Amino acid sequence: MSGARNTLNRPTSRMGAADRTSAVASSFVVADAGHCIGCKACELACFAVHSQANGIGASVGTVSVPVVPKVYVVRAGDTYVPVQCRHCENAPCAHACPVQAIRQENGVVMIDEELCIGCTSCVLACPFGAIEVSTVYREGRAMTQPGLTDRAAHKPLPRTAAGKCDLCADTNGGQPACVEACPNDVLRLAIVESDLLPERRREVFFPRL
Amino acid sequence: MSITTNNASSAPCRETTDYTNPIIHIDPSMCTGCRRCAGVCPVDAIEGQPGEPQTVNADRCVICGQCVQICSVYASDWADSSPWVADSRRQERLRERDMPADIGEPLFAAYYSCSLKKVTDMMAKPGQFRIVQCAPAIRVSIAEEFGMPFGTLTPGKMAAALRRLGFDRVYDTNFGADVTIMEEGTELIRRVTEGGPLPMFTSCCPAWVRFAEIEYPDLLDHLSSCKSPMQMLGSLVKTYGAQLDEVEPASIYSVAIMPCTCKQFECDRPEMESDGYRDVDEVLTTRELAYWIKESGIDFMDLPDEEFDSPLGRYSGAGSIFGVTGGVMEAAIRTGYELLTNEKLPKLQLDFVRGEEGVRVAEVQVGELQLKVAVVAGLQHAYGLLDRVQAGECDYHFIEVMGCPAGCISGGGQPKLMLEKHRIEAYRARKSSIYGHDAGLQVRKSHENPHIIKLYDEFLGEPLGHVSHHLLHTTFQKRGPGKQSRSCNVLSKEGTNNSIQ
Ligand code: SF4
Ligand code: SF4
Ligand code: SF4
Ligand code: SF4
Repeated sequence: MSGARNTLNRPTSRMGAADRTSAVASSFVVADAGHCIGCKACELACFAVHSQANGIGASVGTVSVPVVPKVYVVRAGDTYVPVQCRHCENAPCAHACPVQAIRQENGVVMIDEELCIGCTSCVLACPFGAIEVSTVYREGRAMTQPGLTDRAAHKPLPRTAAGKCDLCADTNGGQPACVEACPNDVLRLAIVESDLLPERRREVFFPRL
Repeated sequence: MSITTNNASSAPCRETTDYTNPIIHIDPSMCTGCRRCAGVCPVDAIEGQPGEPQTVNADRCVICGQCVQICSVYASDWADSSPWVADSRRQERLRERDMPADIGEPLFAAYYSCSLKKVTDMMAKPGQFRIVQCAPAIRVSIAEEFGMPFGTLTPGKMAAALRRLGFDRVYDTNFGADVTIMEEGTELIRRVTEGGPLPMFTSCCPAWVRFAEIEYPDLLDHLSSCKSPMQMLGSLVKTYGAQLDEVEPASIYSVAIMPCTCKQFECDRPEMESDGYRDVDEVLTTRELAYWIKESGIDFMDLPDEEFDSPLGRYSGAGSIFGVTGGVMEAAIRTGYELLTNEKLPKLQLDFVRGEEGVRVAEVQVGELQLKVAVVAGLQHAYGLLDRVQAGECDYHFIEVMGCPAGCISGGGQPKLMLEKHRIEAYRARKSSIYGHDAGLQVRKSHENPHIIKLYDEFLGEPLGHVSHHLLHTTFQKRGPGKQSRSCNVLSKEGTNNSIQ
């Protein structure tokens, strides 16, 4: 099958799922922009693994909700590049969130959908455009926001929440879904320990330089 | 694979010359030009520059639908416009694709035309005798569309669903497969003993037949003259079936549920008719049947198991393994061996044809004869073998060719997977489910199927006889000058290798 064996991703003592829980590590998915072909397989994979609550199986036929991923492939001229949360060490989104829905767990910046009020402060604060506020779906249906109605249509409005890359926190080990799905080895999970020397950091971020 | 590049004639040749309604499409407003589709297309029919929308060269395309299976670029309307604009754009796309308006699944850049509306319109017309047949590979895959694990076997629920959808008779293509074995096996024996063109190729995969017609027209007399199981059953439905049910052939509306995007093309071929009636009127894919079931509000997983109708729905294990690569070969050997030697086949499970490589070869001792066979899965693997046949260097007797990487279980109309890493897993599960189905059936050889015996006694006479010849055999047509036609500038293959080998 796919030649998607990500050579950069071979787990080492420093990289790999097991290490992601170590408190000193901060990790995020880096992209090698020049190699992205814009196939959006990463987006689809991201959506697929985050949609269990909507009864979504392996086949696209089981999908009944809009595909909203947590990684976005953008095009700039002739270049495609996937953009997602950098899990900033001093996360500006967390500073901006008025209800403390954003927290850091083991180096992963997480948004609690239940707490989120959809105010988009984090969207504005994120320097990368990695956060999207969208309708929350459960069991294939749009959730509604109690107390919020469309006056003209007398219909309750959907409940929305911010979403962004959570490094596939729920997938119990293994590589993040986008990294696994990319057919062109564009994506890679970089794990950086905060006491790492600057040169080593550079190696972790830009191994091809 | 050698590619002749002739820039002088490399003008974009995307006009359709030989099928007027192309089945495979790429939406230029969505295609990002990633060319993953080009990486799986066995005939280099996808043309365009990387990063630009691609087009399908309809003259070369064999309609296998593998590009539709791999394309992962979906319409992300929701993300970049207001909900109202997004919805109207989605509805527009659904209309363009002839898909039901209430389908929730994402829409991808590469797609095939949906025939569901045509079928539901016809079903609503009064005074028709509605008949459906179901290919062997559907019963091991359709449950995936309802969230069940890969390869869940549901022949009974499928029959029940089709009855709920309004069909008067639910027949089975597996019966057609059993008939195919009778005809094709006899044809092989005749060619071997009387010196017909050898090797003989199977002719049940329409993408393969179209491939041969386009790429190797000089080898067409090597193809078995048999129609595919779908077409055979189709013509029996409007003759034998019509007699048994005492209905007018003209009032029969005959639908086939297929794992394959090319079956619609096959059923539309002018040759595929008997006495002025189309063998099969319309084809739906596995995915389209799933749309229909969902649209009708049928709870598929909750359906009881029901039987197929008799006699055209009763099949042997040999008929059911047509859905996997090597299945036709195994079924043919089970019958051919016993017809030729008058002895019982010592072992029913023929492991040497059950592999996963693109080309597998084997020798089988059949009485006096050392039968040399080959099985090809995936058309990209056919070139080398066919070049050898062309050069007269191929001494095989019988060659099975299936267009898709793992046979019909991996067809272009089968459930589309979201994660590429699931592909091997899905193919393996569907395959083992088909073999499990075969192993669990009482009758496992086509010539021992009592309904087949009866069909020949009552109606057909003998294999390759006069009636068979008229109803079950066909001719092929040249669709180009052969491999020289590959002159459009073929971009180097890039992207991934997605075959399961
Ligand atoms: S790491 Fe997981 S959550 Fe983050 S973008 Fe990739 S798939 Fe989505
Ligand atoms: S899967 Fe890889 S190549 Fe495809 S869009 Fe995502 S990053 Fe780019
Ligand atoms: S795979 Fe889809 S998006 Fe990519 S080039 Fe082919 S049709 Fe276009
Ligand atoms: S349907 Fe098959 S032959 Fe036609 S363009 Fe797609 S992959 Fe190529």
